[in-house]
Amino acid sequence: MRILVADDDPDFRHLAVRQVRREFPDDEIVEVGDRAGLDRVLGERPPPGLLVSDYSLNWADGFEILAAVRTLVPDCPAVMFTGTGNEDVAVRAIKSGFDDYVVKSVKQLRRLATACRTAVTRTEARRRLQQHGDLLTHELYHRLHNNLQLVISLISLTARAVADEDAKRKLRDLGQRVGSLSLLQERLYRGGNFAEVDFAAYLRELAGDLAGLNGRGIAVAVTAEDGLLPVDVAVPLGLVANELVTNALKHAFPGKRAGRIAVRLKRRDDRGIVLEVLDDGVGVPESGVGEPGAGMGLVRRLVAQVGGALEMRRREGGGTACRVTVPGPGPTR
Amino acid sequence: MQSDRSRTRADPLRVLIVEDEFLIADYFAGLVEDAGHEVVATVATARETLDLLAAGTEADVVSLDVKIPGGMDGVELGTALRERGGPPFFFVTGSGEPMTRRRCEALSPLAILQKPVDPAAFAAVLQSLRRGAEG
Repeated sequence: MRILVADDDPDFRHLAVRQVRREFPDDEIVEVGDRAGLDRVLGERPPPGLLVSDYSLNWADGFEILAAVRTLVPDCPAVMFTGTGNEDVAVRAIKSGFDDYVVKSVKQLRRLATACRTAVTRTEARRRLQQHGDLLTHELYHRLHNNLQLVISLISLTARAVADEDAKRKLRDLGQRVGSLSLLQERLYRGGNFAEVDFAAYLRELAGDLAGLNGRGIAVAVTAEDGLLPVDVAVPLGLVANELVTNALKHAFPGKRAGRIAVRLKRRDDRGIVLEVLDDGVGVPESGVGEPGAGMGLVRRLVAQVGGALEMRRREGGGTACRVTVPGPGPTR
Repeated sequence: MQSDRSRTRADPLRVLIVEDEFLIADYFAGLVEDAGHEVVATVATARETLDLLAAGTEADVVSLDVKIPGGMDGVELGTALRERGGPPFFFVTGSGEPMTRRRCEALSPLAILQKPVDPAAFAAVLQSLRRGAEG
């Protein structure tokens, strides 16, 4: 490990180096007395593994030096020592990311060595945890996807085994629902953010899959404003999108009729969202939103769960328009 | 492992499925048959795959699960198939780990399908092989 000791006072620097060397006898210690020295050592390999810096140097302050080091090594452990500071400086040092703060005096020098050791040990522990966490995430992800594949396989194999056409269809729909949840799950993982999902990307993928499965001359076009949705809205809304597009594919174009489906996602000023699924097919019956299937029942309940509203109407010139409006938490600041 | 010259492009593809979970393997077999092709065998390990091919089983394409038991994973099996001049293959993986992905990509497979697989994408890989043969 390479340790940087930055102080413009050569006497104190040597004292500090001596203490640090006692604690880290096998590591390389580089003394930094001026800006050129700092630039030089930051340009060299290996990057620093520990920073010990004075608070106030005549060419920089400890915070600047820490910032420069952390652009290279974002979690580099660091200890500040100073004779000019006070409590405010101590608080600022900790807040800006120093692991510890030691007052510059001969008495305190032994504490400098301990502070350095603790900072290094803590950083190593943090890194191990991080690594372990990454491994665990990958493993869980792998398990989850394999299990989802198992569930889909089971549903599909059951669908093949049953003779009743209606049961077969229902099982296939179920398989597709699990599939669309998996797509969301995949997005969630890939985004590296487990609280929000890139919903526009999900819609594009879902539309592609559904159109591909359908295998008829029905084009599904997605126009979606980019943006992340919190997962508790994205999951129900993702299922809603699946149902609405599936419904349109199944019912809007009877026979071999070709057609178009448009999926639109818009943001409202209150950060709410509007999801629309439009088709140019035969249109819903005039009696209204009367589709009795399990699909529309599911849609209505999912929309209610996110506090949204569902409108379904015949379009002028033919076809059906479904619009789901989900109010947001309020206008963007 | 050479392909049989008497076969024509109208013949169904002979697909070898490497997957240790039999339910998933059966499901993939269903996808292969739905696309009008045939499954020559379903195996769970790299060893079985290589033995089968060495014994003269002919396959036009191999569906390779990445994480399989037996000490040799799907990527290593893919490498072995390449070295032996075996049939082309595509990966099916539940892993999203960048390292696994890079190892898969390094072999330039026909495709890398993410589990749970999109059935249309699975069929499209087989279809692309068909088109490749016609071209």
